[in-house]
Amino acid sequence: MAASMKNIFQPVSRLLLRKNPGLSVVCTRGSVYDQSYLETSKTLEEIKRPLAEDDIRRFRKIKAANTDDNTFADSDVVVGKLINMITKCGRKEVARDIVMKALEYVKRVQVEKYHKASDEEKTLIVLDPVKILHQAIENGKPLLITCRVTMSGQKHLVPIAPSERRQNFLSLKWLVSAGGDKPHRVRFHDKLGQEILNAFNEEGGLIQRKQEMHKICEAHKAYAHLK
Amino acid sequence: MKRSIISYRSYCQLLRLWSSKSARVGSSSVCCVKDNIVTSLPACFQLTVPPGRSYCTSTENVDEEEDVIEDDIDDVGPTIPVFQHRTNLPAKFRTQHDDPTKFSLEDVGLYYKVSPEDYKKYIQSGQWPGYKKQVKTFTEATVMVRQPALEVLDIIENANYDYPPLRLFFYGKVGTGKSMSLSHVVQHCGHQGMLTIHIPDFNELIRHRTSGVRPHAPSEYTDGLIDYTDDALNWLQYFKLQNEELLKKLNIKTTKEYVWSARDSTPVGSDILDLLSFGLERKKYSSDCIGAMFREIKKAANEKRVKVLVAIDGVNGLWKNTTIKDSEKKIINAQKVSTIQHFHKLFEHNWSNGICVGTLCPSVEAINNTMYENKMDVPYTPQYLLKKEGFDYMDPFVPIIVSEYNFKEAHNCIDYYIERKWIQSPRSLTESGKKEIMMLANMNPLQLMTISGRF
Repeated sequence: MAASMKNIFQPVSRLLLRKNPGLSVVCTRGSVYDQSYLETSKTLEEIKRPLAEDDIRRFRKIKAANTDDNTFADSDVVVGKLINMITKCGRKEVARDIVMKALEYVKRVQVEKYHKASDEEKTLIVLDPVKILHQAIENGKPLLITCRVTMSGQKHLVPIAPSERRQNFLSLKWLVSAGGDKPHRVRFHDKLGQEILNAFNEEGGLIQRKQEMHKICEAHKAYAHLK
Repeated sequence: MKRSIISYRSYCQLLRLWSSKSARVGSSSVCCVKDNIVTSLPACFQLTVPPGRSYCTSTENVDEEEDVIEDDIDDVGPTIPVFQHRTNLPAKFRTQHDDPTKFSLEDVGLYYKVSPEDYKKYIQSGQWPGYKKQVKTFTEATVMVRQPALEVLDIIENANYDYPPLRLFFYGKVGTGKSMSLSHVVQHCGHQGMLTIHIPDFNELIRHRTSGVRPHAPSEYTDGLIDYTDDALNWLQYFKLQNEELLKKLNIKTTKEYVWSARDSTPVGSDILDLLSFGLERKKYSSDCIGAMFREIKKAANEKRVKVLVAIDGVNGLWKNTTIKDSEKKIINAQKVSTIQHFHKLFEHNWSNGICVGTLCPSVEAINNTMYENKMDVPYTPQYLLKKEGFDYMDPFVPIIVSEYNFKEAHNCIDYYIERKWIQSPRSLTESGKKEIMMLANMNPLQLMTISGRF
């Protein structure tokens, strides 16, 4: 009895993963919102601007805002992505704390350099840590990545040009893994801050990882025609 | 004392006059302040209005912010003077001179610079680690002049030194600037030529150490007590740093023969600096040296040769438990540590020509206390922190509350950060952005320091 009950209440995803899914199962679960819903406005300027009479937002339904969206002056898209990348076990507060401390470290180094520099050098120093993070991730983007292709039973690594979304993801992922590569006593947020500064200056773990990927692509360029 | 109350009253009246005017006139008063002359006020106040405030907003933002100003006056109410709302004029958040002895109530809420020597001598130890980092990154040390510190300095100037020492205690929530006010007082008194006996941080004498058990030994002088060896030595070095020049001038001689052991003894009539250097050389006797030195200093103070300031950060720690255990594996109370006992005796009534200042810290109460996970939750009232035993011992004392920043001080703090390039995000340079930071930090100085790191 119990066994049959189990079968009935099996989750839908488990059923879909089976080799021969039952014919009666229909996948209904996707996004809560269908295509008719509009995106929420996320900046203060957009919220405060009055609506025109023929604005679409008057006639269409709008998605609810995410729980972590805010309009504070320190909110940023790339920083949000980095926080999500670091989060483990749903403890987002801890991850946010780490990222903020890392950015503070970057700012500390730059501001101290600024006050010690002469007047001519002061104009060249970038102080905003968010700008530094953006530039660091821009520097870490790979131009070529590899993907696996099976041809006549043999697997080959084939170099391909990644999409921009994939570039961003890899750059962020390598940044986090470079921050984790540290001695036991050093704090993670300090090392992450160092890595951000290093990548901004075109050196360090993130840039090294990118160059390794380029080398692999160079070695396998004979298979480039496969895809 | 009388003088301070008179000046304070007049300042209050001035503020009240401004505020009442601004509330009555409404939007028209804003137009007046644009030209930096408040025409709606009586003629006698026109010169006293300081030039407009706030710092780094560009000329493009001015039009938007003027709208904000008009809205805010209705919301905030009559307690805030009008001139604080201006945004496109250079800010005034620094004092005109850096002499710590000459500040008046006009300088409240402004920053003054501390020289590197003074920073090492009086202010560095005992502050939050964030403050030390801040000094390093800004490449200068600054302290804000605040009202509680000035209140204490006024009492110190006008107290009667024929009576036993007065007790003045700062109290307040965590991170409101009790230790900073205390170190301002110590710096002032050091410049005035007073002898300063300063414990910068009582946490360090009580809390658990990660590097191992705190070095200690049974006391030579009295049975049943224990000595801190390393901590006493460190404190003597700190005392020497603060007062060596003064002690050379005073030339205090010992009035009693101190016999340390069969070989070592300090004869009658030797200099007090010899006693100090003996304590620095022999770690075993440095705790007893502190007691002997205090005895001589008290006698010199009674003869009116020198004024003495006793400043202890975290007075409520005098009755806390330490982390050391005795032979029966029972935790030893701070009352049974001779090093702490010497400081405890300074609060007695048996001497004059001195003054005792201290702080009551919730963070000291939170050590080894399982009741509170966060030290922000600990109650901060004197009666709770001192408990019954401490309150009875200290009983006639003057409590002085250190509260969070008011609107003017918080604005000055943020302007200072902007001037030092610490706040970077472009939106937080505007008036609305500053208000966001103030709201997030709840105008708490410590929170402002930490939260401004994000922006």
